[in-house]
Amino acid sequence: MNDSPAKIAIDRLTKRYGSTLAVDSLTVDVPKGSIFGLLGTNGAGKTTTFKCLLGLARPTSGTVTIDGKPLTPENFERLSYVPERCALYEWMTGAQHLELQRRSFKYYDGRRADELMDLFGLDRRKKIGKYSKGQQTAMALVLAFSIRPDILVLDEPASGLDPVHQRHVLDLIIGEAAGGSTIIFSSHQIGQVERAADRVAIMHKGTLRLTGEVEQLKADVKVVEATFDSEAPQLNGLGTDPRIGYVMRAGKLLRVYVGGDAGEIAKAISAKGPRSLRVLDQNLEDIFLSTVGAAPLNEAEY
Amino acid sequence: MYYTDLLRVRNGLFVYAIVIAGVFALSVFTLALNGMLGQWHMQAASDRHLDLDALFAMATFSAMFFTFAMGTGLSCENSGHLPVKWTKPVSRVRAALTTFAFDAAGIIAAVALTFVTIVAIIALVGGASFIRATPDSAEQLARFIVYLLAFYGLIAAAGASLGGRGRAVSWAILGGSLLIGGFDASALPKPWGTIFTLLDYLNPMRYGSYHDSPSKSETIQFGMTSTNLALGVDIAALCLLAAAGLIAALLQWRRLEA
Repeated sequence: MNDSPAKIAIDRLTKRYGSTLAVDSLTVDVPKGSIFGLLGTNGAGKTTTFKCLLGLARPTSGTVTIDGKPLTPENFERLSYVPERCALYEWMTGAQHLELQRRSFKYYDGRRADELMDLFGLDRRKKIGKYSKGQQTAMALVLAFSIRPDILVLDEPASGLDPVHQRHVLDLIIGEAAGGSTIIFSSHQIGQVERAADRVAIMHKGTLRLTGEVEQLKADVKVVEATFDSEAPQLNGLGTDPRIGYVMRAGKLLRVYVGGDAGEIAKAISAKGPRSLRVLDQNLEDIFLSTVGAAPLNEAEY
Repeated sequence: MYYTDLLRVRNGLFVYAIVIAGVFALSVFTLALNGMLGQWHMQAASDRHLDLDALFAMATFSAMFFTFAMGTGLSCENSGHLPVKWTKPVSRVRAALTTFAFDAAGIIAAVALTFVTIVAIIALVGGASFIRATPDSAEQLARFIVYLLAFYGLIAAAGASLGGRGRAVSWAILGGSLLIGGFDASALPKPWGTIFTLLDYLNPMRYGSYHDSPSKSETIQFGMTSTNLALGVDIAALCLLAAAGLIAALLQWRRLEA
């Protein structure tokens, strides 16, 4: 576990829009210098959480603190936010947005902004309204990274970007964290989160379902993966083993998710004569799917 | 922080200046076509002159269109830009006050630009020497400025929480002001007459009439009604309306969510 003090502390945050409960008593600590991935299906409450964190929406109850204190306008001197939907002024050019940033932030770094504009291949003379969706996202990222932020809040930062630029974004995130910044971001591209984040929280229908260090979560559950020459067999009795989280059978492929030591389970499956068998750490996608209840098969189908 | 406001007002003034330049060019062309350039026909009697106040009123009438088109600063920000506006290291109140200040400066600049254009047209026909300041000129100018700011306050109050619909509301306020004045003037039976009279007290147009002083023989009315009160009272009423509108807008702005 990371014992460093929380840079961002979200405590029993609840946000209600009329009769809709968008976030329900969410408690999450984001340690200083960490890259924190917030995962969830659409409508899970990720964006609402970000908005409450940034004061863009008022929590119905609960608190959000940064360095132990409530958010103040001064925090934004070193805090950048890239919203899911482009919020830039479509009638302003890229250069004018850079100028706005220069005039607004004490720590604006023009050289870095120029480097990033070049990295994303953005034309600063063009109006934002003439940019593609990906370019608008890239412009928002350039502005976010140009102030040398201490905290970065990125809501779907790679949305609309091509794979090359998505990679740039990941590198930027990792580089910024290496420099001591704290980053909290959401993405539907779980592979990106797995590669960049050291901690994750998984939200579903407004509630926190799981949080922890990525490596620890991955190691907690093993995947026994077996391929058979014909249809994968039933597990006969193994299904009731408390160590088995769930089982996926797809034609000749059998995947069994096991909490703790998977040796015995692997041995039992090996006895059924698979063509190949291996024991793996589960990946973040597996964790996510099982957490939000979207695993392919349930226990009844063992 | 103010850069967006500066650009927005500057762009608005640029468009307004193009329109005014077009009107000026059309005026010069028409005057030249009719051989009126330098041919001022006003009788040169000593009591005939052009009130500076009347020129202020004309400039104000034109600048009203700028006010209604550009007075939606907060609602423009509220149409998808709050995550940018509110993640700058300044408070919401200061951000809104900055927007108000730039919009107000833009309105005053629009009045000045129109006034200069009107004077230029008068000068072209040789009438500049007939322009006279009255004892009320400074106060009249103040009245016309706060008249526009009162409308700006109403527009800001009505549109602050409406996002992209703020522009439509702005023009609806113009139509509503004309209608309220019209209903008030038409002496409807009770209770409607009373309701519209009360509403008309909140109508800046009621306080924006210009009387040819000191005789008050000629009146320029922006709306259908006027107060016939002292100029100072009109100014005070307009200041109150402007302040109330801006405070209402500010309160909404503080409560908004992105």
